[in-house]
Amino acid sequence: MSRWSSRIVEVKIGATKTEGGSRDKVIVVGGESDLPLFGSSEDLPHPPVISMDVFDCKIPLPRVLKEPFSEVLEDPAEWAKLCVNKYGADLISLHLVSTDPNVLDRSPKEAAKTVEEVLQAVKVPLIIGGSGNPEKDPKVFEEVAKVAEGERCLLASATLDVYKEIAAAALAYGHSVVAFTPVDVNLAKHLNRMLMSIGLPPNRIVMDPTAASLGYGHEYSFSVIERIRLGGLQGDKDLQMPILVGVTNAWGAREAWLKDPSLGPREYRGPIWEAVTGVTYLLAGADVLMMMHPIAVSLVKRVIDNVFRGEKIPTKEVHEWLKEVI
Amino acid sequence: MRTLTPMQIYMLLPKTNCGECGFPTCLSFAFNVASGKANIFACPYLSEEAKRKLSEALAPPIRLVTIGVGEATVKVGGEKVMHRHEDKFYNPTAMAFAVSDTLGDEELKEQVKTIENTRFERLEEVLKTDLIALKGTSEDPERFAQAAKVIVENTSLPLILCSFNSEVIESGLKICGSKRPLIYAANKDNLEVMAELAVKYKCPLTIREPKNLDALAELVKKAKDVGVEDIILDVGFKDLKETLRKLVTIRRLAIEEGTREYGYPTIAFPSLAVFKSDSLADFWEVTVAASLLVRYASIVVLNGTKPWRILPLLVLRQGIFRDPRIHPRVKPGLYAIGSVSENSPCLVTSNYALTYFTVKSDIEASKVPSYLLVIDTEGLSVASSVAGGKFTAEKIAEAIKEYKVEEKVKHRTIIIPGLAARISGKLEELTNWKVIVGPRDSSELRTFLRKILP
Repeated sequence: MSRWSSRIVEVKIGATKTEGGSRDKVIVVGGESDLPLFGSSEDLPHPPVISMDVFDCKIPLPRVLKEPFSEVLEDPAEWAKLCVNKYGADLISLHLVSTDPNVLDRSPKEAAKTVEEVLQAVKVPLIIGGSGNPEKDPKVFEEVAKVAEGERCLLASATLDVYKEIAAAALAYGHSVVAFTPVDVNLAKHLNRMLMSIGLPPNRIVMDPTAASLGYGHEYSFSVIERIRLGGLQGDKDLQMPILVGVTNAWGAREAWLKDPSLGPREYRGPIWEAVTGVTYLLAGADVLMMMHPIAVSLVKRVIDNVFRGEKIPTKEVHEWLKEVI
Repeated sequence: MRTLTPMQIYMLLPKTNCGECGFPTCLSFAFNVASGKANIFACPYLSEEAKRKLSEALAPPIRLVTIGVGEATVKVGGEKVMHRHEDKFYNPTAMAFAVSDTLGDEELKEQVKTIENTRFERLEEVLKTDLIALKGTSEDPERFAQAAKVIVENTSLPLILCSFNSEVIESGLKICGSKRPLIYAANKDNLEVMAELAVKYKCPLTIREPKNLDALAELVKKAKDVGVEDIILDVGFKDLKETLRKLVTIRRLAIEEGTREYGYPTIAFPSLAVFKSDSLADFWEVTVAASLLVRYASIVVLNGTKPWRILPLLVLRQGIFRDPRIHPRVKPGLYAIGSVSENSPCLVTSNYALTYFTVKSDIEASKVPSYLLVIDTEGLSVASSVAGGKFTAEKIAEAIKEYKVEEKVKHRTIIIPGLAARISGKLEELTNWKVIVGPRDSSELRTFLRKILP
């Protein structure tokens, strides 16, 4: 028996052939009836998933973060393949950064071509991200939603500025949306209400309440995620959607990449910064984690496998530890 | 949180209606105390028994336990809520580093020095570790005592004395018992003798019972019967999920149900999940520690002292234990950094405290005296406030007027953060100032400011 009356909505990402798409499998997120570790395993029917980020053009990234992808940085399809085949990504989040007028101003048609290539290269479900430019994103999403028709992608992101256009593209071509708001429970509620009022059902919305980097507002995001989840469980229908977090934001923290020998090698600092950021949001209730560094991904996967899938993690006895010389 | 009913309070009062508390009767006083309008200690005739019962009833559901003495005293527990947004978390998870008593005296001194020097300054706070866990690896009381002696002579950081052998523990207590170390640990086999040591030396005692929570509560009761008051709980570490679930469960039992046996701080050992054969061992210890920290471990004991391993945990702790009702922000305004002149460059940033201090230190490092215009972004960082529409051209234009920037500098050029590039056009339109888009991260200001000098 759960202590709450309500359950988080289940959202499907990706569609198989029989459903009109071409993915190998469908990922279901949500469905929780308690916070992780608070209730029983029945309260968490679907383990959280990791989506690995792929960018469609060169963007400024710290060296340590670029390194694992150095061979594929200019080929999103190969990049996506590497993430799925080598690093075990559950999904790919393809960010069409190049469409930004201040970056390369690539056309919606070109962006659609990239989406097609990635859809062919990998068979996992896709999150498609725009550039965040409120003038350009609607045009880009109209085009890419069309080429990916029926694939049940997540379009990221509907914001208070452009929710109508993004939701329209999702509705027209069988996709769902990520509803992005800046670290604010009330804005998150408001945007969800707006999306639902124009016909998008709750099971086609995933919330992104902004995942700040560790040390740069992390505790705000942590509490906003807990409040959103508890609000949904207590019966607030505007907060009952699964939660997505952009954990790669962790690399925005200067501690993750700044050259400073007193803090230790950058090769370690970046991945651990991302892993700690990710694992804390995971325990607060996040369902989809967008991540990037393979080490951080495998660390968070271990926690998912243990806490959500019940796979045992080896530990030693404290008596044994006492005998170790350190 | 538990509260007392008016009748429960009334029963503890002398019932003499003397009126010295300012209320005509003990009953009306009791009602006013219950509703928070009067302080119980306004009654001058409370019996010792009543005082004890009251302090018990008014105490936080998780007991506040102190380890150590003097300046380096560590406080753990004292918590009242499950989630920080419900109030706040009171006492930050204490970080302990482990050392073995088998190390030579010189090596120990080195370790202690490393631990002491592991500190970072951030947001005007010093982040550092709190405790040293001395492991009785030798099983030799004499060696253990010697190691304890070396440590207390070289640091004021409080100790956790780690052994299940009561002779080892006592020999350590003989050296540093007056400094209130934490004893680790009593278990079902040694409870009585360990509890007696805790009482004798007036030290907090860890009670370890990995089997289940009922068995743990039984041991707690036994220790209390012997007279131990300051207790730390160890639920064991057979599996990460199981440990995390137990930590959540005992916190809920203490806070939501008021179960006294579980109303104590907890200790956990991320290092028990670390194996040398694991290529990610060092990363894994930190990841495990982070998950324990956000799910209610009051003390975590770590193996490694490397800065890259401890820094993320200290930063995580600083955030999670910050009072959520207070946003760390600085006052909006025009700040002069260095000895500025009317030709000094002028930069603009958000009023999130960390952003301000970071930008300030980077300007200082550039050695280019500058004006820094801080606008009111409601305590949000540049990235968040740009996204949230709180870092706008309009706000900057207003701030330029409000803080009379035109009177301070002769030029009409303003440098905006790279992350706010998109507002540059609008800002030029509104102000007729020349807008330069600065770097995306302020660490680049060091070279950037030198480059743009006339």
